[in-house]
Amino acid sequence: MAAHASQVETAGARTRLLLLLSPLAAFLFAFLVLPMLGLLRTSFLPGERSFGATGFSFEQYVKFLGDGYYLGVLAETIGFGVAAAFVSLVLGFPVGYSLARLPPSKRRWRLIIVILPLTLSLVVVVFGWLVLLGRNGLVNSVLVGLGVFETPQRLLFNRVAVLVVLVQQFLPFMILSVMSVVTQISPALEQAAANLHANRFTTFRRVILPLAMPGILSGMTLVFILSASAFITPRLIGGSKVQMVGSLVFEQVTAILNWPFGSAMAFVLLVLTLVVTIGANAALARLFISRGISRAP
Amino acid sequence: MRPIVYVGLCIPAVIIVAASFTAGEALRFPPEGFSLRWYRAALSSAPFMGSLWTSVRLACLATIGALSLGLCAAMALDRYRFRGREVIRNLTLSPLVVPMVVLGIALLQFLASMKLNQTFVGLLAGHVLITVPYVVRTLTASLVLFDRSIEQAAANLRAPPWRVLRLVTLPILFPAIISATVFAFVTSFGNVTLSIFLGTSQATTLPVQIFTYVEQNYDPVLAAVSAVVIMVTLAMILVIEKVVGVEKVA
Amino acid sequence: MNARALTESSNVVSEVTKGPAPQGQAVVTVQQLTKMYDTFTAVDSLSLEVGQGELLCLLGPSGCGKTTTLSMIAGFVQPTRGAIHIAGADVTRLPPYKRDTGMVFQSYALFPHMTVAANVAFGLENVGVAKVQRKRRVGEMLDLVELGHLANRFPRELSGGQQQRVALARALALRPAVLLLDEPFSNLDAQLRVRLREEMRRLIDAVDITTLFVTHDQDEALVLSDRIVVMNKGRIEQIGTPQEIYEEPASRFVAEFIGSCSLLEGTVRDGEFRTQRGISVPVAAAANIERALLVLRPEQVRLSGPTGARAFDARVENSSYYGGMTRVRLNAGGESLLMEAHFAGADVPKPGDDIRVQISPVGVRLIPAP
Repeated sequence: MAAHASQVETAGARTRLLLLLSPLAAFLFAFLVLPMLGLLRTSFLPGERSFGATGFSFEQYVKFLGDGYYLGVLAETIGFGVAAAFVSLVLGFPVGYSLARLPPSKRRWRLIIVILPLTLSLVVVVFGWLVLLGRNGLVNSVLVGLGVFETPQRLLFNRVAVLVVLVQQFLPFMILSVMSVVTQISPALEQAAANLHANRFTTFRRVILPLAMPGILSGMTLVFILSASAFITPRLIGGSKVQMVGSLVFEQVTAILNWPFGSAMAFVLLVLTLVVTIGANAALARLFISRGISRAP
Repeated sequence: MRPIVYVGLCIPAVIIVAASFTAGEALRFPPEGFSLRWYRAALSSAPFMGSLWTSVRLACLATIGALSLGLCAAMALDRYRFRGREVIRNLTLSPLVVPMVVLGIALLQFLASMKLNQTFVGLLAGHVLITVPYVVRTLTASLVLFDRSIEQAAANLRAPPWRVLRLVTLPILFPAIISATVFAFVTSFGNVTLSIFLGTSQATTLPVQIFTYVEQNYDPVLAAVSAVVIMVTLAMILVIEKVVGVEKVA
Repeated sequence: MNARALTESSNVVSEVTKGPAPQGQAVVTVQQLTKMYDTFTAVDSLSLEVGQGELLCLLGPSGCGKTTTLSMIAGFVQPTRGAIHIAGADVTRLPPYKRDTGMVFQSYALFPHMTVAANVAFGLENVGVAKVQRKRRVGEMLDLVELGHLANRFPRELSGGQQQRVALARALALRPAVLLLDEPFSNLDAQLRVRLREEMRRLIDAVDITTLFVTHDQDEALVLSDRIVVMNKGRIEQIGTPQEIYEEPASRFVAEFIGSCSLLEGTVRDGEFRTQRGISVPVAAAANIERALLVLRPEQVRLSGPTGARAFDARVENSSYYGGMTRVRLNAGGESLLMEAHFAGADVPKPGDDIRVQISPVGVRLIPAP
């Protein structure tokens, strides 16, 4: 009958809308917008303290972007994000695809396994890995027991370990994103392709991959952003050997107490994630238009 | 390859739960023996129990806050067209993609300038901020599929708007509301990063407590405590599965 | 009848678009009803009346404004201008829950979380009917639609046809002044549609309730209605009984929308309609007309004997055998004609055949050329 959403035509409707929206709007303004603006402001302060500080300066950004060490950490952070995105794509796509094609009864328990790491507290997940990869952990026990190594190896505190843990944490996002988009690709399309003499690989390359691209892009974007923002993982798994921007920010704020510098770093990280998000949305929009896909995953 | 992925996804949790039953002194896998001593130790540990209570309290309050703000906002965003609709929607969902450390430092500074840092209220505000997006997203997914003609039918059958809301709209939205509640609770309960920034020494949450311990050393008490977190989280997921079906949520 | 439409051309518009109720007291009166969205006019100054016990149909293509009109009568859409009266009361500014209407939605809109019985009882609860009377009334309504045995089921357990009947029972439970139906059969498959159509007419007659229903399906409209309102682009094209609409279309739109037809352009001189190519038909016209349109229904094109006076040649372009009749598309010197007649076995025309046909003058209609 009437449209799902209505234009605000009457005064009564306007009041209702205001009443519904203003609590959240006010809350977001106070606890999201203002703090972010404050962060921006602090990042342009000179010196090393923010309390009672005044002035405007680019020195924090210069300090961060002009120093080889910090740039290196930034590059590594981006590197981790990209690597995590690709690894989770390779691992996650088959799982997401199979979940989309499974009947609901078989899907349930698998989905629960996928969702669990998402909802479980990060620190518990990371702790689990510490136990797994530690000197007395499972992996070492197996390796020593099988005679591969004589003594337990140091598996932690290196880049690979950090990447592994990052991937495990955020892989579910990729799986769900792929599953969501593949569910919308009717199996009839694959059957049609087979009927037109396409083998499995061709069907994948020319039918499934293009149509699944929005989900792949979404998933990779999300994994990238979450990985690049990581702080607990590099700190606990990487120790002092592996630094990411997130852990640097934490250090600046809690240990070194240089809030202006910490703010500038945080802002660089924020800009990075914003750029990636906007870029991905633009790419997705173009995909929708060119492919005629009607719904977002 | 797929089974390896499934195993890889749940391996940390499985390891912790298994290791928590060790009878030995140190955290190793496979565990030595079977004992509940570390659970007993966890239960009698004041810092852990205290932080557990704080976490539960915080999660309950944050969930109530997020539901109140989020349910109203989700209805407004779904049912009205107005200028700035997408801006507000994006702003509401932004904590999902803004790096948690950035939120942490921004909120910490803001609260400090208002002398609210290291207070329960400040921590609560942060938790509401990060749980509202889940509430709005879950409710929106359900609202989009809501057949408005059902509400029109109720009005046609002489039900004034208040009755329509109470007898028709909310009951139909109930599964989504339950989902949203669980997501909000789980997100708040498990949050680490934000809680580290905004937390106070008097009111530490359980995950932060675990974090502090892990940084220093780890003994099986930690495994027992973590196992409790895992079981609580798993129980909540099963609640969603029962009420709504995990499918709809993913 | 044909002549009247043309000679009284200045009155044509008001005669066919004003719809006085056939017998006395009107239950629903709509005056100058208009709905505009920004610059788009969905409903343009529409006026009609629905008489007591009448079944009036709003018929038209998608986007013609019929559903918007129904929504305004039910109260879900606010009119930009105009007035609506139901059972004598001005309801134009009243919210839907204060109007004495009962509505069946296209999707049935049954409450999924309530049983069938609870669905039917919902309206009665809202107006404060006591529990005992409620139960009795619910029982009555479910018996009326023959679903008493499903009272405790949930909507998702019912078939489409059963859901529709529950929706009807629910709407009728409050004995509203007017029943509103929004494309009630569009969600059902073809065979079910035909069967339920007949059942619904029977039910509505049994309850003797004034009904207004909206459809785009002209068969439905012809079969079910007492009167049809043909709408196009927010305006009324014609109001009349099914016979009037079919046999005396007032405009090209109505002629083409209802049933199949062929249209011939030509002139009228001395009581004879003649096309350029020489097809002629006697018509009852008072005056000569330079440009006229002749509306032909397919059943008016007949096979002619070899010496029919106004017979002409035509070539069969294609031919579809429907059993009881065969639909033949003919090309008569450039004019395309549709013919429907019964042909036995071997006589069925085949593409490429040349046949001789003539137009039966009974029932042809002249309409003003646009």
